[in-house]
Formats: sequence, C-alpha cells, structure tokens
Amino acid sequence: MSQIINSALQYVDEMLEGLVAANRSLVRLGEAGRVVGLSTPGDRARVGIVSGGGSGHLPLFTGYVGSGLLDACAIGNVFEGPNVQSCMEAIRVADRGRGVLCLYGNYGGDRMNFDMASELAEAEGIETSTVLGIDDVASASFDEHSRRRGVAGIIYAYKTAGALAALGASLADVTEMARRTVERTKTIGFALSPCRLPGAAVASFELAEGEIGMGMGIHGEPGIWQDRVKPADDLADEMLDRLMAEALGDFRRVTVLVNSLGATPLEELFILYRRLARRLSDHGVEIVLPLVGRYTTSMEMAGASVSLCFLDEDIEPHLLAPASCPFWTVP
Amino acid sequence: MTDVTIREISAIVERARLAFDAAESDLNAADGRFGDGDTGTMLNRLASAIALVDLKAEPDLGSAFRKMAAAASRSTGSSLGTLVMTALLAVSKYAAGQSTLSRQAIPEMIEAAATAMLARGGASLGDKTIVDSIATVAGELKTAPAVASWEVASAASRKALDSFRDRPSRIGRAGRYGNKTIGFDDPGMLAFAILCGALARSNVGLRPEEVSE
Repeated sequence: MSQIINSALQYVDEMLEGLVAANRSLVRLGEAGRVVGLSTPGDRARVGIVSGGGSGHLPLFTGYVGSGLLDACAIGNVFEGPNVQSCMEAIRVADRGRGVLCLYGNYGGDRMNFDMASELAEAEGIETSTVLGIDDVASASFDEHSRRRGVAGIIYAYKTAGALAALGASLADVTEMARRTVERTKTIGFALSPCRLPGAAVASFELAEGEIGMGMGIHGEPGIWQDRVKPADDLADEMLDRLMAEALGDFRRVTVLVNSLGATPLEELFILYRRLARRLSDHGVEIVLPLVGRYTTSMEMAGASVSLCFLDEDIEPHLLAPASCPFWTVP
Repeated sequence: MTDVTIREISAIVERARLAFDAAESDLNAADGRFGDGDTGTMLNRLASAIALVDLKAEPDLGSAFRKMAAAASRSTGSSLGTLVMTALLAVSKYAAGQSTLSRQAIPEMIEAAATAMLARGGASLGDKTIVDSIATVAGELKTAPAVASWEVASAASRKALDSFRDRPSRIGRAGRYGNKTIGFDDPGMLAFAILCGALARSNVGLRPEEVSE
C-alpha cells in the first residue's frame, strides 16, 4: 500500500502539526515539539495525568489529551518510545501542583524514559506515580501478567483516572483507580496484514494473503497462532472466550471496545460486535458504553482488537463521567 | 587502544557514524526477524546525531560524554537507543573531571556502562542483549589491560555473538519468541560487534606516534 508522506524523517512532526491544526483544543509544546497538551488547561490545583509512547498508533496516545482524560502526552518516533526530555516536559505540562500520574503501555523504551523523567521530576519537587498498561492477554500468561504489553484497553484507565482527577482526588487515589481499571481490562487482537514503517522498503512482519495472526501485538509482535482466516463469528467467539477466562470474580456489567488496527473497516468491526453483544447477552452480561471504531491503530495494519473492562461500582461511574478529546467524547 | 582523550573520542564517534551508516540495512534485517526492523535506521540516526556534537571545546571527558548522551537522547527514545544513552551517562560520570583516561581504566569504564544499562533496562546477564556483549568485551580487556586493543574488543564481541547465537532471547520483544530466537543474532549484540570490528580495522584511538606507517 502506498503511503502519503513527504519524508520519513518528518513523518511524526508533520503529523503533529496537522493534528493540532485540526484540533484547537490541543497545543504542541516542548523543545522539540514532541509534547501535546491542552490549549486551555485551567489553573485549578489537581492531579495531572500524562501518557506517551511511539507514534504510529493514533488516536493513541496523543489523541486522548482532553478534559477528563490526559493532560499531556510525550511523543516518540514511529514505534520508538518518547525520549526522556519529552517525558520530562510532558510531566511539567501536566503538573497542576498535586502530583502527576504517568500512565503508559508496558514497553522497554517507554518505561526507561518515563522512569528517568520521573526521577528528574521528583528532583524538581513534582511527585509522580506510575501505572503501566498490561491488557494484552496474548502477550504473556496470566501468571506473568505484569510482563504483558499495553494495547487499546489503556484508554479505559485514561478515562477513569481522568474522571477521578477532575473531581480533585489525591494522587494516591487517582493512581489506584488507574491500577484497578488496568487490572480489570483485557484485550486480544489479531492482524490480517502488516504495516510498513514510513519510508521502509519492507513490511514490519510477514503475513500471507488470507492468513490471520491471532494475538499479535500492535507492532506485529508474535501472537498465539497463525492460520487461514476464519469466519467473523468464530473469531469473535475465540476472543471473547479468552477474555472471559480472565474475569476477576463476579461481574454483571462490562464495557466493550471493538477497535480497528487501521485498515479494517467499520463494517467488519460491527460484524464482530454483533456476535460479541449477542454472546454477552446470552451470558446475562450487560454492555455499558460500547465503542466501535479506530481507537488504537498500527498505521495501515489490517486487523482488530477486542477489549473488555469488567466494571465494578467504583469504575463504572468514572467511565460514564463526562469527558472530551478529539477522538472520544462522553457527553 | 591507548589512553583516551577527547581527540580519540571524536575519531571513534566518526568511525561509529560510518559503520552504522554502512550497516543500516543489515541491522534492520536482523531486527526484522523478531522486532519491527528499525534497529539499523535508529542506530544510524543516533550515531549521526552524536557525530554532529562539537566535542573540541569540552573541558573534560565527562562533559564530552554527557553531551553525547544528550544528543543520543534527542535522537530516539527506543529501548536500545535509551540504553546507549544510559551507557554514555554512566561513562560520563566515570570520567567526570578527567581529560585523559588510561588504557587500564577502560575495562572498568565499560563495566560501569554495562552495570548502568542492566539497572535501567531491567535485563540480566545471559538474557542475550547488547549488555552481554559489552560485559564480555570488558572482561576480555581486563585480562590483559596492558595490551588492551580494539582487536581484543572486536574478537570478544564476536565471541559473545557466537556463544549467544544458539541461546534464546529472554527479554524484550525478542524474548517473547523464546526458543524461536535460537540460531539468530540479537540485533543489539550484532551492532556492538559491528562497532568494535570497525574500530579494530581503523585503529582509531591510537595516538599518531603509535601508528605504524
């Protein structure tokens, strides 16, 4: 597939220039312009929330800067973590005097740079805490869940922690809300075709026409199995079974995200959602605030992911609280 | 390898830039097996960024390494790139205030870099990462500090590559492939062997009077 770019080196910066030009609520900040914050952040003292990660996943991570969500985001090159300077700047931008939660996916580069930035922030007198997104059930076993990767499900932690921060809660409480939401959110995805890094001659992984990689990550990381593609209902059933097997305790209500990895159209997402909704209803489970669309992508990769967040009485009100960013509005 | 001053560092940096420019596609291919295939491009960008730093005016080696670390950090936040930056910060601390490092001090300085990289990245020795190569090189240089040379370092980096090829990666993205990584070089280890090999071939770091004409 051809790419619409001017130069691979300018890919991220030109994308950010367009993103903030199209969304007046966002502003580019930082020495290298690799931080996005709110153009009108307000001056009320409260906990700030930052995220960050490599580019190539829009709307993740930058697109979730908004009221009741993220205060700032540090942006790396495509599929590379943000550098320590951008992480530090994002923490400063998010700081409203009551501490900053660093909430991002469990990847080596992101972790190292945010860890260093947090040490620097502490030295400047900004209290920080960290919660890592680890929702991808295919990336490690349940026993090793702290090694799992973070993928689309992190947006629920943005949402609930953001809602609690907006109410003026403490850093400890906002952190606990994020941790609890991460703990109860599970995702599994599949790829149908790979993506290509901007300017690269070859795709980032190989997947033959007609094949599916179940459980693959958003950078093409290995999955659980690879075979000929199956009917949508079979895929939906397998994904739901794998997610339900991870449910913690009793639950009656879930929120569901059926996400396109980029190239897969809404039509196919709704075909998946139809089956998921029917199966959940058969189990007597009620779906709250379903999302179907592009929420976490891998550029032009084809495929989808399904996330479930097993709601409880603490999480649900914060999921449903008003919030607004360029790609997700809860009225 | 001889006593190290800023002049040697500048020569090493330039040689590294050329080496990673030449190795970009090979390293991308090595990374493409289990990663997203951009290690060569990232290291080429990182080495070029470091080569742009003017080290001549730096008062000592510590500040020179710190400037290099800042340039590395500006160029990438990838895990390998961040580890390179971490190594440069560690050697910057090691060499703080010094204008010359003796040949004997170099293995210890390399060890300091390896220790910092393990602490920051969370890997252990034996996980099949670039730190295994760096630790092997430090160890070999230490056994014969008086004759420590880039040739010794290059041979040690190759030895590490050979001895880890048939072991599984145990951390990071490659670590998730487990035994499938047996038989393949870790791209970070390969990159370090390419660097040491290039330095051995070019004799940079030798002072002019030691270069045989």
